[in-house]
Amino acid sequence: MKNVGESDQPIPLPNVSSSVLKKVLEYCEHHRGEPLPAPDADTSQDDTRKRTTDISEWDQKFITVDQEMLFEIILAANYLDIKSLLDVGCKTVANMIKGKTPEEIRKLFNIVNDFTPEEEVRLLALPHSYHQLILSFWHHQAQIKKENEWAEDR
Amino acid sequence: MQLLGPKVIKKSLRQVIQRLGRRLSIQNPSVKAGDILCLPPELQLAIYHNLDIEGKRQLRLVCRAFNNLLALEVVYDELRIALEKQTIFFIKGASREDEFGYKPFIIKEVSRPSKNDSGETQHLSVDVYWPKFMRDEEELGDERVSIQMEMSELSVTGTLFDEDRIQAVDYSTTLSGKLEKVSACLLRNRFDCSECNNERSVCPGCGGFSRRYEC
Repeated sequence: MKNVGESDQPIPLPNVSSSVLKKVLEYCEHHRGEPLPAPDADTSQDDTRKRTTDISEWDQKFITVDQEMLFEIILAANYLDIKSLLDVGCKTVANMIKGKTPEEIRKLFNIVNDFTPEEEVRLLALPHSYHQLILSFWHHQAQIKKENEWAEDR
Repeated sequence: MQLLGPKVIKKSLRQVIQRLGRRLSIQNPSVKAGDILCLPPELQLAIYHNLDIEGKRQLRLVCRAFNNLLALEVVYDELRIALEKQTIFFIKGASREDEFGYKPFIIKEVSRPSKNDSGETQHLSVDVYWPKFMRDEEELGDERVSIQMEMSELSVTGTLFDEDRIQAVDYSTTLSGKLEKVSACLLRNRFDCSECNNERSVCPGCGGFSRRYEC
């Protein structure tokens, strides 16, 4: 929008419907004057375990909409480059997914399971075995700690 | 010539479309506007990056579209955890079992999935090393090896550069096998702890080699 400058000419927003734009404006109005998030902060790499619960109360209330509207807000925020709103939208969807099984996620978003039975067996078997590997190592670390503590006590 | 009825044609067409769909990974049949699957991949990934590792694993198993998008990302995240925890791995069922079949290693660095010209992720590059205590006396040298992980889940396919063994085997030896964690007891059976010579009553923590033997 900065590039457009001040103009009386209407700015076409073909990808954003009026109801979604209304919501976006409501968000912008509420957050007016707040500092912008750090530019190009790479959130995709090492910050994968960041908390998804850090959505403010107002934002939580604001984003409590039906799924269609939620995804349209995400798309609009992306199109209009409103990072904080995009972040709120993505965190909300992530919160909806958290703690659910694949079947529950399918139900939630009305997704059809298009894996073949063979694919499903293979996919279920592999991450499970890896999961066990990681867990067993954590257990092992805990065991070492326990043994070290035991040795110190002696 | 026998003419096919409309029912038969319809059924055959459906089968062909299903097969094509599987092969070309076309969109999930349930996709409609305003769905999560309608979001562009970069936004699906933005959602993914807000999940914990368990959420990521589960999301991947939802449908083919998510699996295609997230398979390598999940392996990357798993390997990052292994790197942090300094998990010791080996390649099980390695094609060159005589030379490299049991060569435990620790992950030193995992680099992001690289992308080809069409933007598809290709593989992960994983730098691994052998802790010093795992190597023979005469085997000291450049301990870094490079493994390229292909899309195939946990199997490792790649080139192992072993400069120490240039004379013994080819300069580059392609390995394929399954990435597995080395259990502490296997490690103890195989290698001596240089602190206690495996005398557990003296050094109860000698299962924790990896924490103390960084290169």
